[in-house]
Amino acid sequence: MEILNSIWASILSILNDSGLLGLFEGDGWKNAIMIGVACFLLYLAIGRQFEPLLLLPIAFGMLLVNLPLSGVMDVPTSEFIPLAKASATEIAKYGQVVLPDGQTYVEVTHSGGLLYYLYLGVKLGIYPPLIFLGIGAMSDFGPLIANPKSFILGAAAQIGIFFTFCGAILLGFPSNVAGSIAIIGGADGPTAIYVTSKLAANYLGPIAVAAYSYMALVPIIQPPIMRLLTTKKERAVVMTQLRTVSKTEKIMFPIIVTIVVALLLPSAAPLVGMLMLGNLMRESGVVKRISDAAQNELMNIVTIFLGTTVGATARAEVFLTAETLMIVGLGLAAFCLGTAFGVIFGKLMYIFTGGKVNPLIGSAGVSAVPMAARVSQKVGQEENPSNYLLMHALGPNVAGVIGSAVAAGVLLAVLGK
Amino acid sequence: MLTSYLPTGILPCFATELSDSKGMLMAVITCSGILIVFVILLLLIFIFYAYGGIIRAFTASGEKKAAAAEKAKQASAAPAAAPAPQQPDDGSIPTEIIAVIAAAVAAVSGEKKYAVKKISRAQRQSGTRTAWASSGIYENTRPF
Repeated sequence: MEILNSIWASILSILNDSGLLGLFEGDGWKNAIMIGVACFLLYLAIGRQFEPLLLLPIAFGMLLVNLPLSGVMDVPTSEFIPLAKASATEIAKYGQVVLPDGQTYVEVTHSGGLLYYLYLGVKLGIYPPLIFLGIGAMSDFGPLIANPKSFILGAAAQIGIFFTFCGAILLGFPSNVAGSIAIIGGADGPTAIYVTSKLAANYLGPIAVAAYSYMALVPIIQPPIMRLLTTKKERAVVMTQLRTVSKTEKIMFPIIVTIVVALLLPSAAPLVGMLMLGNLMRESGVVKRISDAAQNELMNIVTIFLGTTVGATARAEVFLTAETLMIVGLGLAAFCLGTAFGVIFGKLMYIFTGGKVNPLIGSAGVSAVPMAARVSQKVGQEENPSNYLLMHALGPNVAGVIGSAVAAGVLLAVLGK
Repeated sequence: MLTSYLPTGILPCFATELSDSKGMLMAVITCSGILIVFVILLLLIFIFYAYGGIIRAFTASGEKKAAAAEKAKQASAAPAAAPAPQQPDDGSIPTEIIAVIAAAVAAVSGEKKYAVKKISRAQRQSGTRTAWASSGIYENTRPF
């Protein structure tokens, strides 16, 4: 009988120490909801293949952090126990220190959770520029160099960011949070994370999830706006072939862009600088090994760390608030406005060039490379199956990456002080 | 917060009467943000148009020199009798080309029997791609 009691006691002890009870105590139900949200996002990533490379680690990070007592995001702590109150084991393990008050203490330290340490790469603004390095190494700026007018569309699609900033301020968000929400309209995950980590780190979870969700939903969100703002005739415009771009031009492009942008807007230098460094490594052709590493190994490793740790910031107490709903709504507005302004400026270019520019390429001015360019191609082909807008849309698309980095620089320069 | 940024010369007009009121904050950030993004990207447009023009001018002059050098070389060298292409004198399409076109039509039409009665060059709209360029683009973009 005594043995049975002991077994029962040990089972109860294990149950008490498990996270299971945590789901039914206090605000544990919120964690249960977040676990459900994480599982839904995992379904979207795996079942529907919505941006799986990022949504999967984000969702899993969210799942891990909301499992009670998992401690994956625990902050490291230390406390000073007076020597008289410390146990022999603690004294042996942590040693003794004499503090300025003349007393001897034992400093008992508890290390943080795994994801806490990995999260430092986000908090210190390291991962997003590294992702930009990989994006730069993967990007071909040829279409943009061949048709520099595309920069206008890349700039136009950023207007939504600033109007959304106003919307967020009107809804009562502080200016730093409003700036972080508005940058969702840039449709550029790393930029959104970079700006938010600098301006409003507490909102990283909802903003990152909103940004990546909308990027995944580009093929659903953009086409209705594009059709609404263009006529059938405009959508059917066949654009002339782009000129061939020389290797020298491609090599000089990242150097010139870095000098111009970093001189005019130093706060954009980390993002634009790394983007252009990656591109220079690709185009120079002399560091193929490094370029390959930036495109593959580095990009993959940073994506795992970034996705998982950003997901791990979505704790129930932060995520399940009315503010999250507002952030999701404002993010959608930013995205739609960005698309709309891109198309409107595309229409202006259509008018000023006498019908030589297809306005559909304007929607690619929001970053989301290359998804937004593919959408321009697809919607264009609905009107004219022999029309290939992809290369033309890639110009505004990569211009959008530069544009959103510049917009991020503006927000950081103004709000980050 | 705002005053320390604006006097850099980008928007001096706002620098005098700034307050942290919501309306002013929204106006300043929206106007300055849009303006700065457009100014920087327009500057890049200007630079790359100018730069592209210079590069093309250099390339054209280089090509011209190379062509002139090649011409001089050909003139000085003994004229080698290059094999003339098998082009019929009457301007009609060579039989080899007809065979290739017929084979391509056969590949497209599958088992269906056909007879090539006439071959004529399709008129291409100016500014559009050739059939080969379109085919290349199609191949490269099919996964999308």
